[in-house]
Amino acid sequence: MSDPDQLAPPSSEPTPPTEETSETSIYPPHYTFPPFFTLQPNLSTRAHQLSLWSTLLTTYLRHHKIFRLKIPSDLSKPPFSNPAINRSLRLEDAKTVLFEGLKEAGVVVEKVGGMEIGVGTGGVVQRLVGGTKKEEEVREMEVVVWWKRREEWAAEVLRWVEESGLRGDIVAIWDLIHGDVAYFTEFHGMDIYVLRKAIETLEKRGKCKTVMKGEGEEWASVKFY
Amino acid sequence: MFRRTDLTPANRPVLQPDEDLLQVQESVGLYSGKQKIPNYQNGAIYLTSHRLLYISNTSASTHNIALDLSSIRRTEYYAGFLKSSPKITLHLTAPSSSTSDASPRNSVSETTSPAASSAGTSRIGTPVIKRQLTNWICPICSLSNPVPEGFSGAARKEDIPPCLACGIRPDISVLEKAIVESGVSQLSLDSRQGSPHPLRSSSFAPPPDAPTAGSDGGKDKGKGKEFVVCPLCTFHNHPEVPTCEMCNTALPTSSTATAATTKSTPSPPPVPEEFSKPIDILKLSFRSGGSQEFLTKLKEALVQRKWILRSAPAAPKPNEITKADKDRAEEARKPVIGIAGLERRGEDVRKKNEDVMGGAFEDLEALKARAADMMQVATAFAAQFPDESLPFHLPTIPTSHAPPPSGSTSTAFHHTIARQIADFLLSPIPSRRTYTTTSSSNDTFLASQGGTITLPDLYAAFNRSRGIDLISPSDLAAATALFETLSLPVRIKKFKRSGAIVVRSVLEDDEKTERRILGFVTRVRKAEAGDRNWGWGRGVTAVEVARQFGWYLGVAAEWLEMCEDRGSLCREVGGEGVLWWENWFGRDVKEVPGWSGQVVEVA
Repeated sequence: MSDPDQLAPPSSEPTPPTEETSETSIYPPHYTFPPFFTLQPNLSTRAHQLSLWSTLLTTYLRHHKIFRLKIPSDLSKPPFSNPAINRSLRLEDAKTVLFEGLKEAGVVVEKVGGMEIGVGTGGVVQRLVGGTKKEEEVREMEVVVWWKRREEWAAEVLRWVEESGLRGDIVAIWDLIHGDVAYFTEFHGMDIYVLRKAIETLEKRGKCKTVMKGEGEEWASVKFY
Repeated sequence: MFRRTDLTPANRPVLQPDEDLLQVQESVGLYSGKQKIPNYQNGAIYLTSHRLLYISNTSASTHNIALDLSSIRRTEYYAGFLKSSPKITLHLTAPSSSTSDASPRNSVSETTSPAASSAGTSRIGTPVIKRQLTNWICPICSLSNPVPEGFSGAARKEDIPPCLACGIRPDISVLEKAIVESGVSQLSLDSRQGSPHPLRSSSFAPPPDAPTAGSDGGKDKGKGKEFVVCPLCTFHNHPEVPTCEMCNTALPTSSTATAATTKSTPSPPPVPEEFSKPIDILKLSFRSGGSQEFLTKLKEALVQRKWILRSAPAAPKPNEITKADKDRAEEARKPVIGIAGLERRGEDVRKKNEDVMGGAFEDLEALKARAADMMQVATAFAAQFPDESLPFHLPTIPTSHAPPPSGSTSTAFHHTIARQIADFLLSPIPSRRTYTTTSSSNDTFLASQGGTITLPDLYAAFNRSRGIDLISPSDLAAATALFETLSLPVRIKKFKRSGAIVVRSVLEDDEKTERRILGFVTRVRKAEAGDRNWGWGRGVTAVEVARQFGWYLGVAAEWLEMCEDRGSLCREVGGEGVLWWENWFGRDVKEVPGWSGQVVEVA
């Protein structure tokens, strides 16, 4: 997880046009409720608990502009733990919250790196090696949490292009993420993988075209129609 | 003769102190003569050394009856044939002052004035006899059958009684005709007598010791002899004969009149309607066997005639005072103070106890006679040396109340055990101390266990209170499974997770238990809220809950999990074990107690 403070906009700057999130409203009141950090066996109670968790997760990730989570290392940090009351979710429960809770809330969690990992395997994965099952410890796995859907990101980019009068122009992806022109947009500082996917969506709809391929994804340029 | 009986909470009869239960048989129906007695067709019959008790299975509180054995003249046995169940026929003597003195309770009705009783008779007796006199002739086999009481012409086909001989239900018109005809014959008889209701109503009006009153139309007076004229065939019957010797019609005899007189007087437990009229022949129909054993026991009881003992004087107490005793008594009267006085008093008490115990053990009869004294001594000893090894005082059960199990009667045995368990759990504890921390209504054994007791604990406690004649675990399991069938005031509950079975009162359901637990958890939270855990207070452990309600730890854990299943509690699994909290998930934030909008500082 990248340091959130670096990416958070300075407080003196005008607030971004998107939804306003302040530090107090990130955490639900239940964040200090000790049973919040134990996955409840009662199914209806668990459903409420998971929905509180998914709200907390998406709010937290959006606030800190976090797109990627490393499993299991990030699952022992906030918001999966609360140092103030000295409680944290067990790793297994954290995975359940991440995969099942967010799935219930309609948030896509996409595996992008590391090895295959399933919920409930406890960091150990079984794979077939030469006809025999072998248990391997999985060191790390990376997921992208789509706290905004792909179409939403695409619409966001398109709106910014129209508002800035860049239609017909060629824009480098590096500029979209790091450049001054898009400083106040929500996709400023966003994950290159997520942005790439959003632009692919636009390409399919014929709204833009990748015109120049650089040495890395960041150096590609996109022409908007 | 017939009387209501008192019932325990478990719908078992309350026996008198010197009364012993000899036999219990389920699925018994009662007949009066040849007619079934409605509402008394499915019940248990209890044979005691003094009485026969019948308690209906369906509504025990309203349909129960007790009959003194002293009023049974003789018994007959019918082994049953095809679909007809075995029956025991009891020929009852009409109660008079000489036969009904087995129980002191009857004395009330006997001392009532004749005027009051005759008033009651004319009210009750008249319609009863009128009905009995109506007969109908079976068109198939031409047997004269009685029309059942309360028969109305508008009855359905199924309500028509079948012929007693051939079992064919007659056409409704046959009965209607019979009723009409009997009405006509009565009318004509009445007009001959020249008084509006001379035949039946007035024949009961005079008290039995004054039968010479003017209007006894049915009776002829011979030389020192009375005859009873049959209202149907006018045959002159002997006054002691209950039915006409010619046509088998029920006769209005003087003895039945007496019975009606006795019974119609108001007495504290009112006799059920079905037994308010005199019954000469009572039949017990054994629908699920056991008639042979019952008959044997009944005959034994009738031979032993234990009810006579009740009026016998108690065994004499050994109170002949010897000279030495007199001297000591003299000395004792002198005022002795100080240590010497205490010693003297102690010695006196010892001496007295010695006398009581020595005398009591001389022979068993004397022990029985002095049982009350022995109990006092035993209680005094118990008070002197409080037995700390006993965790609780148990209610005692007389073991003689349960007949031992035998192949065919094992169901009845389990029924009895089930009822005994219910009594055991719900009867007050004869205890000076309570051992649980809760103080609310600890008057029953079940309450002293926090309202919930596990089967192993129940097994231990129940058998300990029996002392001898222990029951096996499988008997206990079978008996507890019958609680609901017998509609006893206790129920078993099987826990989902562990499969453990507990027994609790029928008044206590999951909801009430949940409310109690939740109340406790809320109290703890409110008492310790403060700044702790941002105002959430703290969770409780199963141990705390167990201590609070006097439960065993396992029981407490099961109840807590039940609350979790019902959604009122939630758990926190931490290093200290499981803590239980109120379930704040899915509730509005405003309801959440601790939340005051604080910022949670996260490093």
